[in-house]
Amino acid sequence: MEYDYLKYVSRMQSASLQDLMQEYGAEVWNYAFLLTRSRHVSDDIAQDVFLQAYLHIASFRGQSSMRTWLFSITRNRVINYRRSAFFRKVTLLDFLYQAPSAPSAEEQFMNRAYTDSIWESVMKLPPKYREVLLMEAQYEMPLAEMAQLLRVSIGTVKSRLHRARAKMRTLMEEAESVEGS
Amino acid sequence: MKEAKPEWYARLKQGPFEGDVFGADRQREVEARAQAGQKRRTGKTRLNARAAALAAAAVLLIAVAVLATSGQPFDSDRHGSVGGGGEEEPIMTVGNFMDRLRIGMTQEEVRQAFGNDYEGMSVRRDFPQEHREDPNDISTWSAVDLWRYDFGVRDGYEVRQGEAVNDPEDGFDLDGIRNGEIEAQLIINWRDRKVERVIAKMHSGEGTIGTTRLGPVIEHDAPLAVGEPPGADPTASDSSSDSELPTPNEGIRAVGDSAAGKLQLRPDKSGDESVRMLGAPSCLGQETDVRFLGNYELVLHRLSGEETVVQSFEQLEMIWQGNETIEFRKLELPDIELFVFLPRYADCHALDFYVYGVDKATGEAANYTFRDGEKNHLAWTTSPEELPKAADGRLVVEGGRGAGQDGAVRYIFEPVPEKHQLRLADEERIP
Repeated sequence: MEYDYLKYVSRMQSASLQDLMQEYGAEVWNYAFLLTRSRHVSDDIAQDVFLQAYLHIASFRGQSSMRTWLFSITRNRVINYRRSAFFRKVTLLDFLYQAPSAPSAEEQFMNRAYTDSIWESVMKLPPKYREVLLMEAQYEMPLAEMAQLLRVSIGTVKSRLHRARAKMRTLMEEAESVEGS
Repeated sequence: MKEAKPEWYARLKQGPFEGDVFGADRQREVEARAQAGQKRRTGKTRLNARAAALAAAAVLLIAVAVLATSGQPFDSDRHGSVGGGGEEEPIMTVGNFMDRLRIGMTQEEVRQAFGNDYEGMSVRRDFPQEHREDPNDISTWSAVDLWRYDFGVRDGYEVRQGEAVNDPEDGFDLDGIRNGEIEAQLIINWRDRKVERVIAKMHSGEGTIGTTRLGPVIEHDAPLAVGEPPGADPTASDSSSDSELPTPNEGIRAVGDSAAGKLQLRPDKSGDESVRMLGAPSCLGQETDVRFLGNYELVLHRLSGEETVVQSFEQLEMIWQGNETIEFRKLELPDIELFVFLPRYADCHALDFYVYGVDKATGEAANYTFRDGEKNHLAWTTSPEELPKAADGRLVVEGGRGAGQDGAVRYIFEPVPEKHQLRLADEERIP
């Protein structure tokens, strides 16, 4: 669906909000999950993202695609969550600090629930590598759009992608050797 | 050489989880919260009726001149250029127009901002050699080039073709706008293929029409519309040059003095901050006001030199008078020093603002959110005339006013320091 017209409006209608959520809901949620590794936080953030989009549609200038704009809000919400005291103390301890050696109950659950075991390796990457990998592999986002979203240069995006792939190769080899032993 | 994409990318296509991770229940919750939130904010998007009345003279001058001389009313056999009309058509506001338009824009820039669906009209007139053009009267111009955009034309509605000779107001389809058949019309006047002046008329609710404009002050409508900055002379050249503007990505944009240290709003040093003058007057300020756009961090710089990030902003827009570092508005509550941050100093009806609290006992600084029932808001809105104040240990905020509204709402917030919140404790209607 084309959302270009939304750059002209200051108030979104409910039907547009529904369309946005149906089209981008899963992508926003997945992106939030990739950054936070928490299903509960991703639920909250995804809801918050669409609420913010609805209330602040006037700030969508059409300078990026609708998806990139929503992703940008998602990133901001994640950053806010990370900075909030509650989040720091309770929710994402493993995101901000070194992951504990033993997987948490939620991680164990998630590992079982993943559509593909490759996601276990993806989730072991640092967040900045995870997100560029997701954008390229899952959403086929152009480098320039990634750079715009992440507010880094295209060169930095390329560098992160290169390192993300290299780390993934290592992690996948490790996973295969564990399975084979 | 370009790196080939790994074959395992295909395994990531599906996403990490099966099923609908953001299902209908969660979407319905968002819709409910959105509707509740929108009700409170609706007034901000409306135009001021008084503004419409005061600015109408400007519209008349152009409409009369153009239509009377051309004898060719605007073609109206088409629908809105945005979204295709219908009941779900979005609403244009004065803020939208002014955000996207400035005097001197090229035709290509306007096409990029508003699209190609406009009606163009050019008039060339022959005058005696001694004829002098009056900049305030388009009918004296030897060349007039106009574009008109229609926004939000309801499906099935034909924009009325007015009889300009009999009723010059028909330059715009005023009935259509008044009745909500059209949400807005925009007329741009070109000179040397650059925007020279702009008039916008839009449905403002309850049978009212809002009007606003950009461009030279027209003699006959000397009182500027409410909400537009008083005293602005849009035809004057910039009183300060770009060299006097603050250097992007450097310095401190706003400060607040706390007992625990200084709150400082700083641009991201590696960012791409834009600092420039507005260039044209509007609800948002005068043409010589400075507009900042970029990524910022608000930090508490403690007396010990230690710094704590309180909040980060991405693509925050600020508009201030002058280019000096501004001071946060400081309010004293019994246990907290409150700092009010208004990214813009002017708006048509209401200003967004953020609040930061510094705990007097611990020195902890935090972004205070606004708790309204079950909802949490990062920012609230205030009347531009009556800024937030402290009274009886609480924060008192007078909401903005919109056209068609009788009075406004005064919000009373109680601080909840342990949650870094300002809880909406009471609200009352005020005249």
